[in-house]
Formats: sequence, structure tokens, C-alpha cells
Amino acid sequence: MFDYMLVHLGSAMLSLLVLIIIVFAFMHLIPGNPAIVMLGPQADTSAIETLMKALELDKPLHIQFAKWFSNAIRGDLGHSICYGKPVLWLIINRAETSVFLAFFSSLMVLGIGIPAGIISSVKPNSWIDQLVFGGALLAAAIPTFWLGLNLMLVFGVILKWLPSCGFPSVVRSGNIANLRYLVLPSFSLAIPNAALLARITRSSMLDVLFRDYIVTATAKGLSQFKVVMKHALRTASIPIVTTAGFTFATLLSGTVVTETVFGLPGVGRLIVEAVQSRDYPVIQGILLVVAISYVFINFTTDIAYGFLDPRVRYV
Amino acid sequence: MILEKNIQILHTLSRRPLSLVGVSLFFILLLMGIFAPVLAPYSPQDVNPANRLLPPQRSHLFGTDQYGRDVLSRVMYGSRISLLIGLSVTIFALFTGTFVGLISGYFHKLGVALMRFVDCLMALPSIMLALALLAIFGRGLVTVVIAVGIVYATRTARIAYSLTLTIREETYVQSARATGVGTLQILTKHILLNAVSPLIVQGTFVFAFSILEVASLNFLGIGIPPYIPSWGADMSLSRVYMTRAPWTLIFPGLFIIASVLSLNLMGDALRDVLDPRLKNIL
Repeated sequence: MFDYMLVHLGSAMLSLLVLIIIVFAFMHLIPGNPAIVMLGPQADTSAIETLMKALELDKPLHIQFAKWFSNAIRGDLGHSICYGKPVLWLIINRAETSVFLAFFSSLMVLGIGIPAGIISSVKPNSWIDQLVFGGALLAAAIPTFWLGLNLMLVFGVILKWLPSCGFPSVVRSGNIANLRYLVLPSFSLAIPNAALLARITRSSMLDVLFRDYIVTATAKGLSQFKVVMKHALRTASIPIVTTAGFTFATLLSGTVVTETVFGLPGVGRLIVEAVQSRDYPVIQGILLVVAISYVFINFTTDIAYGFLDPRVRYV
Repeated sequence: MILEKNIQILHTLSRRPLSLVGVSLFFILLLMGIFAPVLAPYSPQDVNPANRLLPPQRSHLFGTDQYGRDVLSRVMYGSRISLLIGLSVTIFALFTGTFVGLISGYFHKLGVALMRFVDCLMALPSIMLALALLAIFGRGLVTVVIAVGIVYATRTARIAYSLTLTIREETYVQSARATGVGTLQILTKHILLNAVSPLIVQGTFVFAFSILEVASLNFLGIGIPPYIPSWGADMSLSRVYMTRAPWTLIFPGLFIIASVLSLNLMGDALRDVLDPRLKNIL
């Protein structure tokens, strides 16, 4: 298992290095002088020169990369052009909302997707299977922002059951009740992903449920619950874990739209604001943080395979 | 032979009611988009402040928006632009992705490096990558197609790569190579032709996802320019008035759902007909 982990750690490090180079190259893909693009065509020469110096754009590319990389390792991702604050500070300041949102959405995805998939696989072609299939098909076609706006309209504005906008910090206020602000956003973000997970769970469970060892387990007198949960689910878990890992990454992507719909002060909204105002250091910083979290999630998923299916360790 | 196969595919599709619903729905939306100038009761840009936020009624079947523009006409023109962008993204993603996947699958050393790069691009969440590319190249129809196209080209490249790896080991490819057939001919005639079915299936899903992705970008105000009627941008404007005029939000959303649903149904059906083994891969 140690060798298996080492191999995957090496692969993750290599991916991270390539991603770091891609994120660095991002600012250099801008046609023309990035400083002029950021400040606008009306900016005076001295302001452009100051910004070029601040961003080290006047130095050779390899020196720029070495400086940027060594700064990034020490947590210095540069300064925002619009806010005038360190990029990392901005991201950390906004991270609470996005992390809570992605976490609650993940819980909902797992809590809805896996049970729905298991139930429909145990009773294939029953009304409940048809319901899950139809629901999953529909949920995969609904735009997150449209679902969010409708949930906001019904539960926030008409019924007034839940707050529909904003998110006062839980960490700063210490008020856990503020989490209710995230119920509607998390739900609207979770539904399309839960639909995908339900479909994957159903098909991988169906692949397993008719195998001989499941028939044997049933013939030995084990309860259906034990057969399904203990014997079938573990074998069927590899595609489910892959999709769940992938889902967490797509949830990070989904926060961009959901945070804008519900007016949440998160990292997703920060990148939209940064794109609108061409605040490149912020965009670059967010891409880097997201890339690191994705590589980490991928690595964790790979390690989870090793625990779930010992055969994988020897491949 | 090809005609026979096509008739067989159509026959199989016609026995699946859900596929028929998908195909019919898609063609209705397509025709609506193509003939929008003839079918739409008003011009999508007709501003009429006296008629602002009218509920659905005989003269305005889907009501009017905050500028008094007819929602039905805007939705019809919106379908035109959404399907056009979706199709362009699909063509771009299929061509680029297939090219990269084929080359990577056939030339091993180059493939390992290229696929590592593709995997890393896939590591960046799709909308964030599209946003970053739009921040670099600026807003516009072509840039939206390229930005979203690059996102889905990576996914297509992955599929084309794994297909090429499998097909290149087939005996007919090896015998072609042994008889001196050129690399280009092997790549196009022997490998690509045998990988076409799964790639067509992938294309329908790319089409569906790109409609959702472009609508999200337009909703965020970073997609196509605001003067072009689009479903996402219309909903972004109407959210301010959604409590007073929910029809401005509901109808464009229903059209997005209909188009994505129809494409997903078509994709599912095509996958089952063309290659049932792909059921768990795509």
C-alpha cells in the first residue's frame, strides 16, 4: 500500500507542476501588454510602467516564473488590482462560504444520489426505478441558476421558509443558525450532481447484483439489506467513488454560478468579479488554489481505490 | 450497406418512445430557431415601455419583459443563437479533441506528454477555465465558442485517445501497417472510421452540456454581447423582476431544459444503438 501511495503521490506532484506552469502561462496568453489590458487604453505610461514592475512583466520569462513560483510557495499570490489587497487574503476571506457550500452540497449529493441509485437498482423497472430515472434525466437538464432562482422565488420570497440571499459569516459571528442561508444554494447545486451519481450508482450496482456470489450470499440466508450494503455496494463502489470525487470538483465549479445567483460572498463570485474587471492576479490565484484542491481530491480518490479494491494496488 | 445500417438505426430508434420524444423535441426547437424571423410574432428588439411586464395573454403568449419586449419572440431568437453556439462548440470540440486524441493514441511518447497536459486542463473546473479564457480573449461569439470548445475538446480528446489505444492494437490495423499503408491513411481510414460512432455519441452530450455552459456564462454577463438575444442573459436581466413577472424567468428556462433534455435523450438512444458497451463509459 505504501508503494501504491508513493506512485500516486509522484503522479499528483507531476500534475501539480504542469498545472502550475499552465496557470503561470495564463497571464502571458493575453494578447498585447497585460498591464495595458488591466488598466485600460486610457491609462498613462507611468501607471503602466509601475504595474509592469509590480508584476515583474519587464523581466525575462524564466525569471518571472522563478519569482512567481517561489512567491506562490510562500503563500504570496500577488496583489489584486481592484481591491489593492493580497490575493491570498481575498481568497481566504471568501473561502468560508465556498467551502461550506461545497461541503453541504456534497453531503446532499451523496445523501440523495447513492440511496436513490441503490433503491432503483434493487427494484429494476419498478415505478420507483422509473421515477429515479425520469428525475435524474430531468435534473441533468436543469440549469443550476434557473433552479436556484425558482427555489429562491418559492421558498424564499413566496413561502418565506428560508432566507434567499446573502450569507452572514458563521466563523466570525459564531452563529451556527446562519447556515440556513446555505440550504437553498446547496440544494440547487446538489441536484444535477445527485442525478449523475444516482445513475452511476444504479448501473454499477446492476452490474454486481446478479453475480454468483450475491446469489450465494442470499441463499445463505443473509438479509437483503446486508447483501446489498455489505456485499454488493463494496464491489460496485469504484465507479461510485470516482463519480463522487469528480462531483466534488464540479461542485467547486458550480459555486461560480450559485454564489452569483444567491449573492453569496464566496470565491466563485470573486472570480466572476475578477473576470469582469480584468483583475488577472486574482484570476490566476483562484485558478492555482482550485488546481491544488483538485489534485488533492484526485489523489485522495486514488488512495480510496486502494483501500476499497486491493487488486488496484498491484496494477 | 450504409443505407441499410441507417434504416436499421432509425427502426431501432422508432421503437423507443423516449428517443422519439427527444428527436422530435430537438427538431421542433431547431425549426423554431431556423424560422424564428418568420414564426416570431414580434421583433426580439422591439422595445415598448407601455407594455412592460405584461402577463401571458393572447397578444403576448409568454408575456413581456421589463422593456416591453415579447418573451416568446426573444425565446425563439434565443433558441437560434443557443443551438448555433452549441453546434459550433460541438464541431470545434470534436475536431480538436479527436485530432489530439488520435495523435496521442498513435504516437506513444508524444501521447503521454499531450495527455498529461489534457488531464491537467481537465483538472480546472469547466466554467472557471472558460471564464479564464474569456478574460484573456475578451467577450464575443467566437471567443465563447473557442473557450467552451477547448473545455469540451479535452473531454473528447480523452475518449478519442482511449479508443485509438484499443483500435491500434487490432489485427487489421497491424496488417495494414505490415503491408506498408501510410500512417495518415491508417489514422484516418482504419482508426478514425472505427471510432466515429462513440465520438458521435460524445458529440450529442457535448452539444447538451455546451448549451448549459453557455447559458451560465451569459447569465453571469460574461458570454456573448448583451444585444444578442440569449436565454441565459434574458434570465439574468429578469431576475430583478422575477417576483412581479415570473414568466420572464420560467419560459427561457423551460426552453433550455427542453433542448438539453432532447439532446441527452438522443445521445442515450444513439449510444445504445451504435455501441451498447459505452453505456458505462460515457
